[in-house]
Amino acid sequence: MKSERVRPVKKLAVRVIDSKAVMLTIADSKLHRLNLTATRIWQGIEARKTSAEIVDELCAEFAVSRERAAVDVAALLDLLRERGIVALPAEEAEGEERS
Amino acid sequence: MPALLPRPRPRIEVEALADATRLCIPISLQASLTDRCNLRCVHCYRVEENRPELTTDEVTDLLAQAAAVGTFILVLTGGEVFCRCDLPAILERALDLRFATKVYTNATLIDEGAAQMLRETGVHQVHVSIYSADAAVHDSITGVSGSLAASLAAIERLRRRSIRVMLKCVIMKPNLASFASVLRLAEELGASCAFDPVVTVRNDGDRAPLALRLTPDDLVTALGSAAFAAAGRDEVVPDEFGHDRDLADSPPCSAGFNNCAVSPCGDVMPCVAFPVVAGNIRETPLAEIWERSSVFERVRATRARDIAVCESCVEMRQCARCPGSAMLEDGDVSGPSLAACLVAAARRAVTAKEDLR
Repeated sequence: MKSERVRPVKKLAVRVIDSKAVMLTIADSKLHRLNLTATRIWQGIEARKTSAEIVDELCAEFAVSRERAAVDVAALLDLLRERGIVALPAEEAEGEERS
Repeated sequence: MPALLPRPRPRIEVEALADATRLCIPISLQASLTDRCNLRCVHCYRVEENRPELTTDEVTDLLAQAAAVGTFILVLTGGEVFCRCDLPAILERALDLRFATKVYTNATLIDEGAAQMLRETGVHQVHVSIYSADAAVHDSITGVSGSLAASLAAIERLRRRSIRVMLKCVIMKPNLASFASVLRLAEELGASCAFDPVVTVRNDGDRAPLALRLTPDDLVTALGSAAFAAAGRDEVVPDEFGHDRDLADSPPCSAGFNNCAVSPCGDVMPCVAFPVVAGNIRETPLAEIWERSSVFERVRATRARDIAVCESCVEMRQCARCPGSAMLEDGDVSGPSLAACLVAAARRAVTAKEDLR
């Protein structure tokens, strides 16, 4: 997927509580909670950083290889996209029209 | 018996609420935007403050402050929130700040434009007060003829836009015979439904609404009904969860622990039902009031074991004692709440009846 361009969807409630993000996707009224590492990645997404920049940050912060960090970031982006937490700009516009 | 116990909350919600309580984060904030209302409900607990309401800028600043201290669930209530013409601007700001926003309303002022605005601003849920499917009963409670028809028309507008609606119904003497019809109405409308069997005193201690409160026998009837058992609960709102009710050192209520309220003129309180003023956001930042006010310090110093009589009560685990009700109705914030005692006794009676079957 074009993970470089994903952004948090507009209708999403988020707070970081105890270093772990809690989220509510308004579209399906589902709650989600991220673990510590996933929350760090999420904060990068929120700050509009690219996947490569997020990977760089993870490598600087945690004892993890660049390859492993890249795999983890990509997997989380896929999961967040699947759950409607992030989307490509065109996908979000389409979703709004459908609903 | 299981029907009388609260349904389990999702694990994520329980964990987040527990974390908020432990870290003393106001994860839920109820902002009463106005005392103005176009209905005259007989049981209303609100008392008009006769001070200027927060301006649009003051409300949006409050939201920014709330987001900064960790508030996740924002409840906008009144009065009637649609009496404020700046509600769209407030909701747009709430969306930008990524709150899970709920709107409590009688819905009578929600026209097509307002319904679309709620859709576009990503409101998570709209709670509508409905007291009966019988217009004569509902309208007699709201004091305005045609109010049920107006509310139902608005709910249809919300439903067409896939906005989640919960019908909320206080059960009292005037609607005891027909409250169950609200559940049927909810099912027809694709809404959820929650009942509250307790009428409270007004926030100034005026006991007039208590004349509408169910008698102990009525309470057993209501709590033992199929409609009460089948109704839902108010989701994603902290109440008794986040605490372990088995422990005497658990907080007695979420008010002041992970929940706070702000009045139309900016007074900060532990809860809309616990109107002790801890400070005013026109004078002091929300974070400072929440973290340092003596009111919140006192509230947080209280544990279940400190509540006289309650500590040894066998009903404690199921009790939904409200400290505000104990203070306003019974005169002792550290004592039992008669309203909660009545409900607990009714639950026990219903359980005993079911055990005999």
